[in-house]
Amino acid sequence: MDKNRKIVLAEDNSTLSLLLKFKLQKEGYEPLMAVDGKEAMKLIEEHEPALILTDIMMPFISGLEVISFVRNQLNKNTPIVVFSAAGQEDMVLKAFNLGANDFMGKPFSPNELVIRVKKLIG
Amino acid sequence: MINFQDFINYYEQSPLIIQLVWIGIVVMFFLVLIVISDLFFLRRNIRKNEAHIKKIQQKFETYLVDYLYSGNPNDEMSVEQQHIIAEIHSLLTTKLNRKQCVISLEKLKNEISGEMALAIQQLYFQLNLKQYAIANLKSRNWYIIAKAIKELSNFNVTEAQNTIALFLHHKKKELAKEARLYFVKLFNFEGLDFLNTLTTTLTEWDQIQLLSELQNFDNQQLPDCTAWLQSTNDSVVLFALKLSSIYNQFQLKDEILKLLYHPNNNIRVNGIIILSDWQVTEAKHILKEMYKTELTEVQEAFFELLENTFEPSDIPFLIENSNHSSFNIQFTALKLLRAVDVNSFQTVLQTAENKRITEFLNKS
Amino acid sequence: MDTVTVNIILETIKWLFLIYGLSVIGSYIILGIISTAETVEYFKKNSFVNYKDILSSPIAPSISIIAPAYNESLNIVENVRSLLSSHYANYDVIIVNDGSKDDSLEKLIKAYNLEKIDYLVNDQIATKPLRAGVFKSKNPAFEKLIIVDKENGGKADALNMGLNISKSQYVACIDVDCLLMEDALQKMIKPFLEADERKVIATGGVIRIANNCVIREGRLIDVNFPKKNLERAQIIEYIRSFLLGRMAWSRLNGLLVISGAFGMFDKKVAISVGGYDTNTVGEDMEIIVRMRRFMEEQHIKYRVAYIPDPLCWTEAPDNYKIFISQRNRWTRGTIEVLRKHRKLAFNPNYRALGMLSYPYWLFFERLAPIIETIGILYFLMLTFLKEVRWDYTLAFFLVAYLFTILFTIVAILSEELTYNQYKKHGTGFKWILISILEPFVLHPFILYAALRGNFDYYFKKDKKWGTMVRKGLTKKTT
Repeated sequence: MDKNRKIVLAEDNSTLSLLLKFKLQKEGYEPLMAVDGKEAMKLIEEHEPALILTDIMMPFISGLEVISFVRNQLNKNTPIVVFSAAGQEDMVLKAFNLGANDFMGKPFSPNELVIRVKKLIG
Repeated sequence: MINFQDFINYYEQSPLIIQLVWIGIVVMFFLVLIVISDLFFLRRNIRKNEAHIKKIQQKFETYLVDYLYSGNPNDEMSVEQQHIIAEIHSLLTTKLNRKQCVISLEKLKNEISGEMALAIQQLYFQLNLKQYAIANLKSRNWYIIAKAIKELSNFNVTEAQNTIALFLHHKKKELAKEARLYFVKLFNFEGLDFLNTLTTTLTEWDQIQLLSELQNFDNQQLPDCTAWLQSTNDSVVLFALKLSSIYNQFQLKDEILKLLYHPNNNIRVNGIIILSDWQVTEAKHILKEMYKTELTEVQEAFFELLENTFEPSDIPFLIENSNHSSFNIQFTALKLLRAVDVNSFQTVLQTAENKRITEFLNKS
Repeated sequence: MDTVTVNIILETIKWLFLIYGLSVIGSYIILGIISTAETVEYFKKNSFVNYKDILSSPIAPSISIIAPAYNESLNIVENVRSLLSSHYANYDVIIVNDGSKDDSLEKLIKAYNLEKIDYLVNDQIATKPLRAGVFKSKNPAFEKLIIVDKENGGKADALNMGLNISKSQYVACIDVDCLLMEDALQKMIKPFLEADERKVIATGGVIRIANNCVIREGRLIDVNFPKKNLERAQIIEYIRSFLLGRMAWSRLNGLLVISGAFGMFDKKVAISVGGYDTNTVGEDMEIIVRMRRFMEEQHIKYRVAYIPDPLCWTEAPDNYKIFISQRNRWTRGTIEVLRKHRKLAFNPNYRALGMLSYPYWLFFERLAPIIETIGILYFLMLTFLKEVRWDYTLAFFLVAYLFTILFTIVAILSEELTYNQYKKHGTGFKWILISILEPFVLHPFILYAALRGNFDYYFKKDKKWGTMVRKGLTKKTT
């Protein structure tokens, strides 16, 4: 059976988004890009990814709502990693309370991100 | 049908005011034509510019990502990377393109850390972009200098530090601020040396930016803040208090206790807040003595301290303040009382003036 | 009275009108120049600002968004969602349901998973009491949201309830159907944070007109130039007033009003002056004047700031009936505020507030419609007496008309140079067309509404807010 290599990535910085897409593709994953929470939720529902990477502070629908959507509405245990700018500790705490699995503070190293992704879904 | 000559005759025979009005009409008519054509040209230019910027940004982004992923494992520049550098170079012929290139690089560099961030910096150097920024430092326009300083700080260009140091106390506040941010960004806590000699106010916005830069460093060892806590510049004291709080400088407890006697109310309130977080009981004793003469906002801050450092000996104090004019203090006093000594609370219920509070607390 | 005296009187009146007209034109030009200088400086200062620093700073101050709502059931859920998605860390949203007779509260409880909490409201400002109570969400994703359901008391009363409940340092008072831009809070709080010797007590910004824009689920998808002349005319009126008027007053520290649709205040000062006045229809202007007066009387250095950044999108009246009702209310509001604070007039104790701002508002805002009407009557009388020289009349009219068009297009140019919101093809022509039409399509109605406002103020004391029929901001795409 084909292992699910789909990753939904929600990030509004276009350069960063492109970089991460490249990196994840190189590592053999199938990244699906969203620029905001709404798009992310749509992609998650449609493609049922193995992992979700999301920024917390995004236009319109926040990363927190995405987590809530996945855990409470879709009732899925998909691993979720959140990005946050430095200093947003209580946002990160809320994310964990809602069910996030890991977080990476910005600025972060893309290599480190890949390591964590591998740890969560192989 | 009026012809031109008739109009001139008419004009010459009119009173002065009317003549002026007609001159005004003609002048304005031409001005209106000018601004209308300005409007159309402007819109067209903006449209062209935006299309160009979008295209060129995409190009730069793709080049950048390609560059970052076509490196050699031994850290030497690969052939492909050199090729990409040449391609980018060919695009850097206009000021606009150079600006967009720097923006693309910055967009990524601010989000990424580690070796990839260094690679982006290397690219910046390879593309010879820093010379333009350094040249801009000599501009007569303050904001061109400020933008250049910002760019140089984003890419860690240390060679410009002597030139930039000249701006540290510039009379244009924004420029001085950018210079300071440069030093903090490049030299971390050492960059804060300017605090020793600062005479102007460090606004909250300045402080936010400084703190934001400081947080990016791995080495979070704050140097001794004692001198800053004793500064004659009140804004420096406030900043030092924030540093103490964020970096948990418990050893400065005594210095901060001294600040409870400072003439500036804002400093006292901020001092109380920190001591409250650190649950410093000595603060409570000092403040109780000064309590009656304090402003309400200081008293309110003190009550928050009280919540964190509460001891049974404070109960009479609570009872005293159950009828304080400030709603917040009344509420906190009664709430605390109910939590620690139900009997006293019941007694006080009789004499408390604010029935709303007492009813509410009694119910829940 | 003999003819000589009559002639002297007529001549004097003529000269008075001329002087008034020239000073109006002069004031526009001066304010326009100062505004431009201030806007340019604002852009220079902020061209390299990274607002994200404020976002995640541990010392970013707390802000409460207070939005009163009355019978907003149609769109309240999406409006609240839009307020919750602001890019700022340390804020909360207080929705005050002001005794709505519809199912606003039920819809909110359902959409946001709300539960009633026990809450004792600090009654430092007297307001109408709670009705259903205070609600918060059980879902941590909506932790920022507080809903307050109270007995009806009007917009000012609802805002005061918000002031009582808020535990933040600053409050942003907004109309609930105003679509707030994501970075609005960051931009608005900056003037407060940059204050050094002069404390900033309030900040206002630019309000954009959302008519004909595509808004879905509380989010701006597409910006379109409106179709109706009335709506277009209001846009240029707003641009003239914001970009070539208020920016100057901000620099002169003489602002008497920031828009009622959206403004940010230092909460402590707002509460010190007793909150909003529930007895006036011009509560947004009145509280600013009162806060300024308070700071002057306390001899504390302060300023009221204004930023040219667009902060929120709101629906403007799209038919003349509602438009006139709105302007009628604005007129009554201005009269009420100027009367209530007449102690300020020409009073050197109040410095710029009394010697510059108040006189300006009195002569060029409050009295302008009256003077204009007198001018029209005077002109009609002259016509009747066959004293009119039609060629002179034409000349004066032309010069005034051309000046208006010139000024309007300069305002449009500043808008294009700064934010360029209307990017689509063809808008250039639409701008020119409406600049030419506006004096006919908008101004007469403003004059009429102002006269009605004066009449209603003096002879019909019981009139209040009137109704704004809620169409909601959601428009279908065609």
